[in-house]
Amino acid sequence: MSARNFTGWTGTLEDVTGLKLQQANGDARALGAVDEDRRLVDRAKAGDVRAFEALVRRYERWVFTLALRMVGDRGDAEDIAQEVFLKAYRGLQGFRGGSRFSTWLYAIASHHCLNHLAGRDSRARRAERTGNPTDRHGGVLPSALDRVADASPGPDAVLERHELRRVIQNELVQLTEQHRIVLILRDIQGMSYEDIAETLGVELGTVRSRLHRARMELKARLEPLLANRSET
Amino acid sequence: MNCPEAREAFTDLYDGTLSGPPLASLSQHLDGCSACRAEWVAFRRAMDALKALGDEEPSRGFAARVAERIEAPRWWQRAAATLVFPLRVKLPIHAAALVLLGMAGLWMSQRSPELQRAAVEHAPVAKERPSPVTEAAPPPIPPTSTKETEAVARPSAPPPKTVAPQKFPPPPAGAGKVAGPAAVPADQDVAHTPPAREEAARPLVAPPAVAVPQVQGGVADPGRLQSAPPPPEARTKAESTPRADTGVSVMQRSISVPARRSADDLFSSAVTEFAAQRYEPAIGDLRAFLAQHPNDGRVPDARFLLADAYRAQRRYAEASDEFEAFLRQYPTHRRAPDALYRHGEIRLLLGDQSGCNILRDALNRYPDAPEAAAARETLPARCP
Repeated sequence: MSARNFTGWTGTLEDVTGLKLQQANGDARALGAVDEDRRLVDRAKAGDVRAFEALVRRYERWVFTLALRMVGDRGDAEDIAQEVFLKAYRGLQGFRGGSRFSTWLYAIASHHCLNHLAGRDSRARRAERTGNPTDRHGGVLPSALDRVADASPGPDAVLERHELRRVIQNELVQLTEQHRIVLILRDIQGMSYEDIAETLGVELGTVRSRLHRARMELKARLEPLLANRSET
Repeated sequence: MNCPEAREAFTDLYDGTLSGPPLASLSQHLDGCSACRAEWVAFRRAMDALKALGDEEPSRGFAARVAERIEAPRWWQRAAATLVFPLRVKLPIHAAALVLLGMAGLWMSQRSPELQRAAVEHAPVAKERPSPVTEAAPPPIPPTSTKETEAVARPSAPPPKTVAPQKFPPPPAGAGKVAGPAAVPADQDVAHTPPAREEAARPLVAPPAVAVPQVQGGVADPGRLQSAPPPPEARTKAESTPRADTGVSVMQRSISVPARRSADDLFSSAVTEFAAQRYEPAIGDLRAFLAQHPNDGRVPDARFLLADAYRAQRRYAEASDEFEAFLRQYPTHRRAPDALYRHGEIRLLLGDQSGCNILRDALNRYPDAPEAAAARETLPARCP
């Protein structure tokens, strides 16, 4: 490994500083957003569906991304995201405002995704018992094929980039649900350890240990693919 | 600090939560341990790749659809609402429903074959009254869409013997009147009508052609029933292509000439749709690309993607065919190993045990391919 590459790790400290700054900016924005959320929640509680629609628009991207990264299929992800918002609307009267609306919504979304995957796994196991040919993670794609890492460079850079994203997504859905969700919440959605712990209802230490195991596993899965690509 | 301890600290280092002596200790270890340095680089690379996945947006109008579902009453609310309607509301609704049902029944009964036959029995009466179209139509080239005009104007024309293809349902009883002179003005030169207008006029004429089998006992007036096919010369003059005398062929012609798009446009669009997991449009683009640009250098990639798109849609039979065709045409392509492994797996998903042999073949030929490990897991499980 070249020295230039290795300086990447000292660069990390700068990156981390940048990350912290980014988080601080995000927090400031979040404070304004909390007030707006509260106003919209109050109106939605009073029966204003348009106010709830505004809330959906504020969080649709977040919820959809979480669902998509968890299940790996856009159609399923959109269904899940809809269900999450419907659940939130129906449970809105029970939301007392003790926590932020976003945290409350993220908790609903996270648990809904986990329940969906648990249901899908059990359906896949049932199908396996009955001898029906099915893929191992419930029908998104044949999993043995998902693991195919197409490391060869193609003539079309766009195609390769999209394929790389697809392969990474496919590797992501190979992780256990508990590892996957922590990884997504932290490294894609950028949540703090504390928020993740609150969202998932687990201890801070559990978040940290799951996250570390998930990252190491993903690293191991992506290592051959990314090494090949960096060589080419 | 030893290697396991250093690697255990990667997450803290990446999150920036490491400071003081632990950070210094890790730094010292990484300076001296090339293996851990390489691990750290791989760790960061994987995290960067994960972050690059980024956010995604749901399809347009998502929030509005959620609001729509919220506002739509749930099934039990609908049921309850129906049950608790007051009588003064229910009665008029029920009465209106009954009237509507009665009218629908009447309408349907009027279109029954028996009533159509009854209508046919009145044909001589209609025949006695000359049609204004007959008088107005130019005799040499009768308008193709008013075939009854031609039939009446040429009493020596042979009675209809052939039955039009039975693609159309039996016509409504009043179809003869609808498709008559009112449908196409007699002075209109249909031979010069643009195809679109011709197309629009044709459905009024084509369905009655199948009325012939319902005419029993020879009482039918061909002019009234519009069943006489246009004479060959009229067809030749009126229509530019030999098969243009059916509405279907005109339709096929208009569908089969899509706007030609450039190879780059089609391929790029296909890849974008594929990456966004919108496989149906991706398949459409890929098929168009393959049809319109068969000599493009990206044809093998497009064929592979097409097969893969079918696979993602779980259309395994089509995926299997495509992979098979790909392997036959491009056996040495760089994607051939992928194609072979996927083909084997898909065959198994289709319940076809030949997939076992394909996977074994793949393992023999490409034992070092990344997907070989997965195939080695699959084989003992599915190929006892």
